[in-house]
Amino acid sequence: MNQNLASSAQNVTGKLRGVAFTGLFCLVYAAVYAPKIPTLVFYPQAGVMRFGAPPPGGELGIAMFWFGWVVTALVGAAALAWLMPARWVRHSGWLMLSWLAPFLLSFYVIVHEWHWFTR
Amino acid sequence: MIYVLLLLHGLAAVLLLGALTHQAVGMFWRATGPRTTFITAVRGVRTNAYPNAVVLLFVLTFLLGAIIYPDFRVDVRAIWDVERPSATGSFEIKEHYGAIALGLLPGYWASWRLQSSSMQDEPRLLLARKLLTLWLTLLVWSDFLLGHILNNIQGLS
Repeated sequence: MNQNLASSAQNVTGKLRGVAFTGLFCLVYAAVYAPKIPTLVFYPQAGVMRFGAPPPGGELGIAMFWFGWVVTALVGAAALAWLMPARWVRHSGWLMLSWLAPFLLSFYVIVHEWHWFTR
Repeated sequence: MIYVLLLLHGLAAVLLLGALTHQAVGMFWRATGPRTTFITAVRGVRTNAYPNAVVLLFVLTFLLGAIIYPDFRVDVRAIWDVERPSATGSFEIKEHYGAIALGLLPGYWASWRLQSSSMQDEPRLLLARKLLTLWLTLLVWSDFLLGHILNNIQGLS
């Protein structure tokens, strides 16, 4: 019975890490997207992926940052959610952050991209 | 090949949209009486049966979109950047909403799977489940509509 209780608690903690992941994903994504940090950049015309800023002169063609931002947020949030102590994960603040962070980031995206609509 | 992938991306998105919309309607407009009409049947779905399907359909839709994105970036968006900047802006919103929705998936799935745990009556969990489901539904609807309109621009021009 003690084993079942321990397993059940571990199960709940594991799922709560999933909840924490969502809030953390949005924070990491915002951290790289807002200042347009070139993490992992894909150059579709050259068919290569490189870390860091595109080379000057555009010798590799169009640079796509989005893939790198998604990968950075996935890896960063997963690492933080996984490594977080269990007692931190159980804090109810992560439940609120899991829906608040995507909500705020969604509105920030519109503000950040609004310049395309005023050209 | 690119057109086949685009078509599959659209079809997967439609299935995803259907699943999420059913779940959201069942959650926020639950049917209490007999399910004898189409509307009451939709309102009476078993909402906790959807999360696995939603996650699988979203990942499939997302991966198909990610595969065709480079071709779109080179062949279509490079032109839009100059000639139709509002179309580029719309696509930028679509791609970031897609990323946010991807990040939402674990929290969304976990909030439904915690339903049968010791936390099941926790008000903050119930609120998180509702808002995560609602926001995921709205993001997917936004992406679907933006993608459809942007695809039509190419056809119209």
